[in-house]
Amino acid sequence: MQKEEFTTYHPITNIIFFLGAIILGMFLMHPVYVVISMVMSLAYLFTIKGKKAFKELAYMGILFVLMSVINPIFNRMGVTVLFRYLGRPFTLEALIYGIALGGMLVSILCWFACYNAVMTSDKFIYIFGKMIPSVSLILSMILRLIPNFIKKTKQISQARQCIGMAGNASENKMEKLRNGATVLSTMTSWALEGGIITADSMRARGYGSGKKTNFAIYYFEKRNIILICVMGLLLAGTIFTAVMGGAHAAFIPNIEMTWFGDINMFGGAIAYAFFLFLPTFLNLKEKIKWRVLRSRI
Amino acid sequence: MNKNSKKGLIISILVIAIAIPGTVALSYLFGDRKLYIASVIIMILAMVPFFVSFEGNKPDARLLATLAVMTAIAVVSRVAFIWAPSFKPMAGVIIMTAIAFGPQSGFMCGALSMIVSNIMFGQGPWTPWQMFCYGMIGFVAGLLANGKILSDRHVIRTSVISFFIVVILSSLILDTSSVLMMTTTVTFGSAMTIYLAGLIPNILNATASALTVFLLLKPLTAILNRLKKKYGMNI
Amino acid sequence: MARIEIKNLSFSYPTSDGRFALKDVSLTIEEGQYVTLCGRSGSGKSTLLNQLKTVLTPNGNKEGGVYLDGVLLEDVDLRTQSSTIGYVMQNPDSQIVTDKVWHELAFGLENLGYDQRTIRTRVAEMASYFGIQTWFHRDVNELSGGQKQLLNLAAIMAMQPSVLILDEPTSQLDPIAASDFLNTVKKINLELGTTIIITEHRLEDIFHASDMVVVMEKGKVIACDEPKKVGAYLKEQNSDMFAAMPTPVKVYYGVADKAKRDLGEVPLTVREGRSWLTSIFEGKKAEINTLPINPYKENETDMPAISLKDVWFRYERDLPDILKGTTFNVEKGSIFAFVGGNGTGKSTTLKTICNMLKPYRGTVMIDGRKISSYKKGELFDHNLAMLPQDPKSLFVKQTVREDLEEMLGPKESKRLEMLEEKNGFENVPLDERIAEVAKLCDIEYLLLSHPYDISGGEQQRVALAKVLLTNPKILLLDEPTKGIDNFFKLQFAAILKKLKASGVTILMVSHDVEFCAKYADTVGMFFDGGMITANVPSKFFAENSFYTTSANRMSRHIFKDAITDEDLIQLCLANFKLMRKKIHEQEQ
Repeated sequence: MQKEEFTTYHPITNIIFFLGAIILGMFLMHPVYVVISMVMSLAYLFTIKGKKAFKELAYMGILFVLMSVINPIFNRMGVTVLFRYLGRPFTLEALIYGIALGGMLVSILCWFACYNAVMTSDKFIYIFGKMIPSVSLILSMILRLIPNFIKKTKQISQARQCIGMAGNASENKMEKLRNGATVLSTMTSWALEGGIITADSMRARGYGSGKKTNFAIYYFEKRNIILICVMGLLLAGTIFTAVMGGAHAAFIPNIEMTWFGDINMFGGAIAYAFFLFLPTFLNLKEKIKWRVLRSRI
Repeated sequence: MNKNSKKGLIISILVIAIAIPGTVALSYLFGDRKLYIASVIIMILAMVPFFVSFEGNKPDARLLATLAVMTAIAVVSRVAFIWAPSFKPMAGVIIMTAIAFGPQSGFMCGALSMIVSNIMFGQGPWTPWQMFCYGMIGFVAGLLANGKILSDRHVIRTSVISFFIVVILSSLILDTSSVLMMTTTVTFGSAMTIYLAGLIPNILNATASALTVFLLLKPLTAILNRLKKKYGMNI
Repeated sequence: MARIEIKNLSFSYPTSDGRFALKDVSLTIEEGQYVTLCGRSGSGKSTLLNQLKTVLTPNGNKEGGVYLDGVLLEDVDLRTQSSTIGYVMQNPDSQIVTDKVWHELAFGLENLGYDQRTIRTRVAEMASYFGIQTWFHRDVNELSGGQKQLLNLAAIMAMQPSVLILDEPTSQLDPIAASDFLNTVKKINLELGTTIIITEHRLEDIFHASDMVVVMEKGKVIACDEPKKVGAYLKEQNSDMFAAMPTPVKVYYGVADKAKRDLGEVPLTVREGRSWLTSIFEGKKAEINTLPINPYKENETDMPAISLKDVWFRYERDLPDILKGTTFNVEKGSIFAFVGGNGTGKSTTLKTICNMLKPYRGTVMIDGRKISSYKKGELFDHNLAMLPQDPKSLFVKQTVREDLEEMLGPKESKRLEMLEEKNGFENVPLDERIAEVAKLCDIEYLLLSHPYDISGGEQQRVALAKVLLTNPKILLLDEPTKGIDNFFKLQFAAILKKLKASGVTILMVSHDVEFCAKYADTVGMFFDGGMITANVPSKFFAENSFYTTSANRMSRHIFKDAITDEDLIQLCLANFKLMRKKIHEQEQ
């Protein structure tokens, strides 16, 4: 994976973008908006993951087709009947609605895939920590324990095999299950004992002795403020035009939607596209900057 | 249970009582896609009181550490069964935690297990639903344990009830989320198809959980009782 | 004024029926002192340390008190205590709270409510001081044991404590990481003037550095003085704590006991020991410089218990090889030990012998049969068994007895469990086989205890008992002396000797050179995925100059192959005798 520019921004900047992209993505069902969201999310996903993105796209493609087909099967409303099967109408409007829905879902999943790459666990915990510090601390503790426990589970089951208590040829399904349960309970016993020590270590370091602060290693520099302002303007533009009816689209029973002639629709789509393009843009900008810098050497 | 957590509990119950009818009302008002967004928001709102009351209780180090351990074990049990689709002992571990530590810890264990597994496997629009569903599994199990309906003295009864808790809540919450997400207009036919399709994985999952409870409830209770005695824990 | 003053402190646990865990302890610790607390497991060391921090003090009956700068500890508020008294615990893993190195460093400061800026400065400072900056952003799970313990130390030092308490901080570390860690502690003491109170098994590294050594026995302080005087006192009292003293001290008194001549000052370190030996031999090479030993016969045994021939292993095709043509034989009925640094392939070799990992080239033979010809489970059926590094991995029940009974098979163990539940443990006779093993491992007094409530050395013996119930012909041991004090090591060694006498072959992996030197028949050195040399201990260690015992490092300029304390004492005395004889002859 190459260095991704947007990841280096402050978690709050990151989360504002993703909340905006995902919530707007769910609300704006206008086909043009759906296409914008899909294109931009794919562009960003490829920026982050490169060729690896194809792997994730495979199952999204299946989902897309499935959603497009399922909707007209259940949704029988719509005026243009394409064909009837066993007396059930299969309408064009429901099909288009399904395609729009599938497109929306795919773009949301793409945004989440980007989110998962950008919002690493420590950023996630930071955002949580701002709101609910104990929960954020416990999340951090859990994330620390999991790899430990996986390792220990392996150790215990190997230790039991090495004294002939598991993995024998004569073992049946039920014994296997019982063995699994024994390993899990041994691990639990070990883990809880460790938990007591962890608790002691926390108290020894002053946990619960008074007011607690939350330390973060993130810097909120000027570029974050600028980016948040830009995002705010574009978001406001998108939302305002949408409220003015710019993103209006109805599919059933008749397809009716605003088109580019409408100034609200046109302006909104542009604001929306620019907003969603921001992280990809930052990466492009950085790439060009470095190319120029290198060429000067 | 101290005063603070009692207050939290009351708020929780109130929100749940309002949240579910709220979803219905909103769907009636908005119709169409807004239904899904509204329901996600309500899911998140419904979890707020639990988190707030957990925070308000200022959990002490031992509770925090123990809960972290149990949640991590729940997640590990899901990771360990990654090869068996739908067959996950995770809900079983959450139910046992709820039996040992009560409804609030049960909720936290369930909801946190889901956030953490999603941190590992990827967040998605399903995260709030899953968190709420598993949180409720823990919460309900905790309530039933307080009412002595679930207890380590009756392993078989507890396992059977655990099975039903998991099946009912998964169908009710998780499959509803699929219904809302997958279809444009909720019709009886589409809803039934999704619920029925979801039933098989739910039953598999519940079986795994019930088996986990059946095999581990006794040993786990023994381990916890020993710790409570040895370290004078009062959780 | 004394920094910490303990006045007539007595303590008993609520469950101990009035038996005192601490009895009338009085100690004065001055500012900036380096205090070493020693005593065998269960002597009350940890109990005493826990009294020095209120949040760690367990429930129980307490008399007397602890004073911090003249104020009773209970009256010092938690916040002050947390920042003034730092506490590093034994287990490097469990005391880490969060998942990131930077967060762990900040954790204590967060709890004390410092602001972002202060925390940032302090964390940066600590990271630089301890050389952590390169792994500052890492997950704690990626760190080695030594790094984890260093992180724990740094996280506590970030709170700028003036007193640092360390409870056996290196017992879970390998020797190199351990001495690195202890050097850092010494550095803190010297450069920051922090008062240090430490308990340790490995006195070798810290004894000489201490300003004061406190020896505890059965909850009482039996000696409290500067290191040299404590050594003399323990010898005089014939205390069994003397066995824990560093090699030079033991050798000095071992020789002084019989030599009846003036030997000068007692040496505390290897360096002092070397010059001491030089001085008593007046700089000359000793005339008797070697002890008779059995020569090592390589590859002469016709059917070795374990035989590896040209074994290659890697985890995946694209990953580097871990074993690179490992070849060695383990003779039947012998104790074979291999030593070597971390990551040289020792554990992988053990796993290969257990058939947990399958080499992609080469053969592994167990008892003359190819390992692949053993059916599933057959290998561990009265044949091969392994004692894991962490004995706790084997404990699955609520009492030691049930844990042992589990080994009798599911039916028998279920039957016994039902009987015990009905009639109580005391009315169900102990299985013969278990009684025998329990006697061998000296764990009869532990049968009704919970396996987590006993000391590390006891856990080790219980785990060994459990392993022995499989009746193994070949026993594999992975770091058997890790975290165990000297007395338990002696006890453990005695059991191994008995097993060897009954014909069991023992193969162990260890970092503990002193233990290998004393008890192994053959020692092999692992390096870069293979066994590079193997020999009888005296030859093996005599050839190494770094990877060898203290006794050898201390005496290699005088004697050829003295590797244990006993060797060294014996050689010194033999030479003295010869010298006396010569002087006697000259006089005549």
